[in-house]
Amino acid sequence: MIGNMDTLVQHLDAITEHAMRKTAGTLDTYPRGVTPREEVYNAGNVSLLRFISPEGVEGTPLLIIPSLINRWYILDVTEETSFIKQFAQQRPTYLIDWGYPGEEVGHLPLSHYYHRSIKRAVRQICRQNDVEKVDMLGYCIGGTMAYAFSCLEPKLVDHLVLLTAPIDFSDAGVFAKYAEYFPIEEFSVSMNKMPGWLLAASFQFVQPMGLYQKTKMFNDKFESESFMKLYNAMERWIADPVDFPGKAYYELITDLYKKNLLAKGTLMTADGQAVDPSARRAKTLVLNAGKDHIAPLMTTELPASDQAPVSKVTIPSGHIGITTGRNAKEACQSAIDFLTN
Amino acid sequence: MFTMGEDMMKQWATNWEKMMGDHLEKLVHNEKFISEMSKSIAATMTGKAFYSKALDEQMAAMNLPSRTEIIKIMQKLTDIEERLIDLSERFEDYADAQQAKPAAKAAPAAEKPEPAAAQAHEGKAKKHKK
Repeated sequence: MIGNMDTLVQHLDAITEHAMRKTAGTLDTYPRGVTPREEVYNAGNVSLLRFISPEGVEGTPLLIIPSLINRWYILDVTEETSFIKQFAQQRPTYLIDWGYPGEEVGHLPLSHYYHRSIKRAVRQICRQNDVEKVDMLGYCIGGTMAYAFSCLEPKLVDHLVLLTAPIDFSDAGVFAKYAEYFPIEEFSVSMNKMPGWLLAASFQFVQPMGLYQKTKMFNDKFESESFMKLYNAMERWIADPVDFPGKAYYELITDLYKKNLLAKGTLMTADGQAVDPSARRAKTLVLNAGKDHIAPLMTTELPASDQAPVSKVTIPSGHIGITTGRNAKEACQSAIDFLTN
Repeated sequence: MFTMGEDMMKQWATNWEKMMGDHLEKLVHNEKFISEMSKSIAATMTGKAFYSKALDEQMAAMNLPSRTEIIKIMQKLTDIEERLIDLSERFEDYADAQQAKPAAKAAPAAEKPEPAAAQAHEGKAKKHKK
């Protein structure tokens, strides 16, 4: 049933995509990200994007690692809230676009993404900019992956910003409960990927009044042009779900959510390298959201064995609100201040 | 009168929202509920696995490749692509190292030229100026 639903959703998604592209082509209203960019490297599904900076902008390049669960342009959804636009004004800014992983990558482990793919991107950036290390910002699970990478390759990361990134899963809130009961073994034998629509539905499920509140807010504010611009851009992002590769999803649930191996310092890559927090050297900013239900404050704590210099900033918003809400500018400025000092 | 009606509606909506919110919040956090829902998902997934296996066998009986086999081939292709990317990176690094070697050798020579060679070079430069 899930397979048939998945096919049906894929067809519907293709039709919506076609209609959206036609509309966006003529009106150019809801593009996937607003900051001009170019693809500078590509390996399989994964692309490295470079955002166009003003002439003469230089400095340590910044690599942004977005979440694998959704599309990267939540960080670039409108000009007014864009983190990426702000960063690109200051320094060479790159981002890993995970693309739309299909069943052909369902067998790749999570370490393929947090080690191999990120290392390839860093290598390209270092070659292009003639530098030996980069700064990094990871959002959500992208932050978890950036953290794991900074443990594995301490010499390649100078500054690290963890934007609402869960690291310690010992008390991961409602998602930990779902992870505990999720039939992961049945999943692994029946599916090569976690369908994006099912993930999106699960996020809606844990906030049962979310849709009602959104509709109510729409009713209250639909006459405001700025509200409608952000609302439509967000709807466009929500309607663009991404499938999670099967084996990587299995490891995310078992190794991180259930066994908490990253915080315990016992996580291993597929080729047997230890992900050791005590090896980390990168100066780190933990930038978290006070009302986050996806990565609650407890989960953003770093392990005791991590001896790298760490500072913390808590923004009074939610997991998504920190990137697009009224406090997004404050969050972005905190990251810029940290990276420039 | 209309204002009073609107106020009552708003109050009713606020109360309803709070009541429903509290109830649903409790429900989605209830471990028994989560456990039962997971069992239902597990049953669906087991059914899907069984259905896929039966389809695979039917395809095999007709001497046709099944979806599972095609995905396996695609995954093999991904593995080959990954190895090619790794190899081309190694080759690039090797080529860079080879290019850096003559430059490193030439650098000390340029800094401290042999007296005879320096004289010859000066002579050539002068000739060139003429």
